[in-house]
Amino acid sequence: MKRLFSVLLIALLMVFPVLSAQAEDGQYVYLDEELGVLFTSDELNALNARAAEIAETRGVGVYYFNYGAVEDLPSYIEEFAAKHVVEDNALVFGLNADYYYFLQIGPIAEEALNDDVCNGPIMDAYRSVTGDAPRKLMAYLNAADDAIQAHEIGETAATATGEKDAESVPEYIALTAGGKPTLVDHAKLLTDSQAEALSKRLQTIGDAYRCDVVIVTVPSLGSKTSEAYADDYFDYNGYGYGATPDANGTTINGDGVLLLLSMEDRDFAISTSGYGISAFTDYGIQNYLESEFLPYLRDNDYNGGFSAFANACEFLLKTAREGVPYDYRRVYVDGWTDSQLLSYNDRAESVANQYDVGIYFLENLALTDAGAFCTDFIKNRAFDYNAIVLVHGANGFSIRAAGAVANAKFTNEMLNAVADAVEPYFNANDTRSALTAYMDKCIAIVSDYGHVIANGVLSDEARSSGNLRLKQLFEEHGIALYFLYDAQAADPQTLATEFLSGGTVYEENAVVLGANASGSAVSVKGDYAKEKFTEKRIKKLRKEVDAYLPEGNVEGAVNAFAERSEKILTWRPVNWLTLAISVIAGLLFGSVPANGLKRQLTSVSKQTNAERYMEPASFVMTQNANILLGTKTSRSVHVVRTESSGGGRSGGGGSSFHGGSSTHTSSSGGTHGGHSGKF
Amino acid sequence: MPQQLLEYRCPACGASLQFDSGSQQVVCPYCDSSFSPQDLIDYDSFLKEDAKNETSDPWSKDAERWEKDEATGLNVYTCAACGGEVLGDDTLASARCPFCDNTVIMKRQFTGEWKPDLVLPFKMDKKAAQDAFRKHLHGKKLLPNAFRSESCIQEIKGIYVPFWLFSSEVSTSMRFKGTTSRSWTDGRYDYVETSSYALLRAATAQFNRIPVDGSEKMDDALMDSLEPFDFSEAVDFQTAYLSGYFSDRYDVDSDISVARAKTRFNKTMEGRLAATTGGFSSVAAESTTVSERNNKREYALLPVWLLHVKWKDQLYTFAMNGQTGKLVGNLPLDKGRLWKFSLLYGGIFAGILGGLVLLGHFLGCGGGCL
Repeated sequence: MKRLFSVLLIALLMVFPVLSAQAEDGQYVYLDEELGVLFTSDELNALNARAAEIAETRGVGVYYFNYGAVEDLPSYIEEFAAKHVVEDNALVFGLNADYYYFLQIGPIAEEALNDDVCNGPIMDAYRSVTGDAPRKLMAYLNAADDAIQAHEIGETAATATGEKDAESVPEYIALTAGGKPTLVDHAKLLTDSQAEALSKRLQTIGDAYRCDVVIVTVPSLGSKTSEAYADDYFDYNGYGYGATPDANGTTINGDGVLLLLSMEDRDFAISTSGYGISAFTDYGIQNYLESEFLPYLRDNDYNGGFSAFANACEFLLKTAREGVPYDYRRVYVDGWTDSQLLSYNDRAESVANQYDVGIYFLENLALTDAGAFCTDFIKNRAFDYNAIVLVHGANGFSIRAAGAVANAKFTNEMLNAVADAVEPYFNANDTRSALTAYMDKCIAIVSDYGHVIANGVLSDEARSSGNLRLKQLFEEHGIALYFLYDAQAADPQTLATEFLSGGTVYEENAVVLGANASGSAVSVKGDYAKEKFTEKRIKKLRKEVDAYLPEGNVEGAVNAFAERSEKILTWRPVNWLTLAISVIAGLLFGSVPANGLKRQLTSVSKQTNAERYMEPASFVMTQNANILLGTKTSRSVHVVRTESSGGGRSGGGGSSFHGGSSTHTSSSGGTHGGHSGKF
Repeated sequence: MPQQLLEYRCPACGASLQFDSGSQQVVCPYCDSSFSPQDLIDYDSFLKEDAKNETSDPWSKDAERWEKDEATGLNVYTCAACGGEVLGDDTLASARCPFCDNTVIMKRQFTGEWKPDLVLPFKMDKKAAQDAFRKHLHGKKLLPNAFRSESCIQEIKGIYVPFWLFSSEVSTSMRFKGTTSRSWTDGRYDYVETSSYALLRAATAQFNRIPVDGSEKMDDALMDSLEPFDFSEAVDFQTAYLSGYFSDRYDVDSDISVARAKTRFNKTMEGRLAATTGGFSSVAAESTTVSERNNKREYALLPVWLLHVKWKDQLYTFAMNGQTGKLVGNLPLDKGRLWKFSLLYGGIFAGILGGLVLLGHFLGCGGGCL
């Protein structure tokens, strides 16, 4: 339908050339009838709009015509330009059935879009798209825009750093490994000494972690976005550790991170490239890096902000180089793609949401000391309050738990069980199976209540059924019940008391029963638990549990503990009022049959009807009529009974990280990561 | 006119005869002869013919003499058999002589306007009445135990009680006001439409022999409670049926008694008519018109055993339908026993309810589940 419309439109244009001349304003793309049918009006509008945008931002009109019937292209293109081009600077790309020809008008076009550029990148871009005419044209427009932009930057770069600043880069500014200044302070935010110290610091970090760390401040961004400016500055000024700039000084995919500050609108942007993209993950930038330095900038403490930026970069680069980049991800295996990691991370996420325990699995065989990394990781980087972390490095693997809940669940017994589950797979170099086994085991432990601790005496079923009962009691009554059994323990009271004060018990109200082979003892924590578990009741509880201990029936002891505790927890004082009311009601009900008996005594009563003296079948209705007397209708305002609608809570969206870094491609073709915003 | 005490004597041995409710014959308690009442009447008239011929017998003249004690309203009758004096009120029609136990029948009470149309002969004897009384006490849990053992039947007598029997073809027409209503809403307003109707109902029915006791002495409620009587067994009045029983003549006029019969059949008719006014949301009777046709009243003597029971210096009156054996009469209440039973049943209910509360408590709903 749209296509048909455009055919009609073009047919109209052909028939009324006057109209077509009028449409010239804002028209950059001209097609003959034959080609016109390949475009919808929407597509044409988009192309013209894009060209108009270039004309506005770059000051260069980018025209295109394709008239198959034109004979002498070079002379016609002059004629076309005279007729249609309105800008001072313009590029006209004309085609007939056989040839194409470029015409540059104005100084910018002649320089930025010289024949080399036109026959080079622009034609390459134009040719790279086949089959889809609108996209082909869009590629031409974009390529032309990029070329003009590249020229502008080159000019800026040349103005800023090359010709003018190259000489004016102060001597005290330290350079990157590639010989570029680590600090470019066009906005003059720092004193010379501050700049010197900062640039040296940036140089040190960059050299140490083989990744350029650059800070650029500018008064304004011109027409660009902060992100594009930062990307372009990085690329066109030849930054990037280990990258070789081409003849124009452009680098692609060198390793580095650049912080750009524009003072006009207080924009900032962080552009990452190469290794910087993987070291500076989205999560790392937005949740760590930015929170480290932005507060200083907001207070206009630029030196402090840049120092914090440098420190944060150092930390992020360090963690990345150590083997695991700072990230939201709980599961990281060096060498796996993001999509490979995604499902495991999702599973860990759902477990964390459900049980408040983060399950971490980190593997990087380059790690030399898995144990130390694990300790450090759980201390500094695990973002779940309760976490279990497995780190697999060159020297084997290490598992640690942190947080009260995780510690309570992952006792040494449990940690050994986890280790036993994963070890065979690590030995067989089967990381995938190790990861699966690890998560299964951890989830089993996390989802298990873990309040029955019997040092291996109990079977799995007995333990988990005991746990289930204790868990239900906790959920119903808010008092955590722990059953500790250690046949070797000298004194059950010490066992219980130490466990209770040992930091493992995180619940506010808890009852810990410690038991050894001969007897038990109970420790109670919290006012509510103390109110329920009185001395007398504890005595009864212990008596029942103790009956099982000498014969070694720990399962029986657990059941007795659960059973008596349930009785204690569910016991409630009798509601005397209800009882009294029901007794009184009962007494009142009692008078009913008594009155029945009383009535038996009375058999004398006056007769009031004569039904039995009516002759059978003598009753004849002689009249039976209903006469309508009248109808009255009354009206009242209808009251709508509103019922409160339940539920309907709409969840707010939140940013969600799937780990890793999101990237985009800059104008130079370099891939960048990063983040931008205002400070 | 002198009061004539009528006494039937056995044609065989001359002893006083009695009506036997079991065989419906008049029997002689001494020589076991039995006669049908009709035969006896024939024989009696034959004797009377004789008596007329022997008017010179001064004893029999004496026997017919009666005196009226104006001050007390009591009449003194002289027993024809032994000459003993029988005290009776105005209405006494037959009695037993306290000295010789012979039946005396005051014939004058059954003549003229006082001649009953019907008599329903006794079918139940004294023994049956005593048994019925004992049975009546049976199973009454709140009856004082002492009443069962200590009460004594002070007096038990068979009485023919005067009743008026009213028959009438009753036509009742009534007007009711009935309303129906329906309601609906159109979203803005609620509407209520009320329709009023006049409901016209009329019916005719034949009522036969509604009994109303015509004796002032007899408690109306007690007599009502004796119903039903089977009037198909009624026979034309013969004084022979009265032998051996007491009887009264009516002292409540039929014009007064009929009011009670009217109340009863009106109530019945109204109930029947009101029952035909279903389907309305409200019905109220507005007017009632009654007309009666073919009114008939009969004067009947109905058999009643009256038992006077004395207990703790109080007399309790019971009555038994002499035809059907139905015994009625209010019994005394043992208040202590009433309390005992109230507490017993109350205790059981209280126990059940309290038990449920406690059960609910221990099942975990905290006693709040009742």
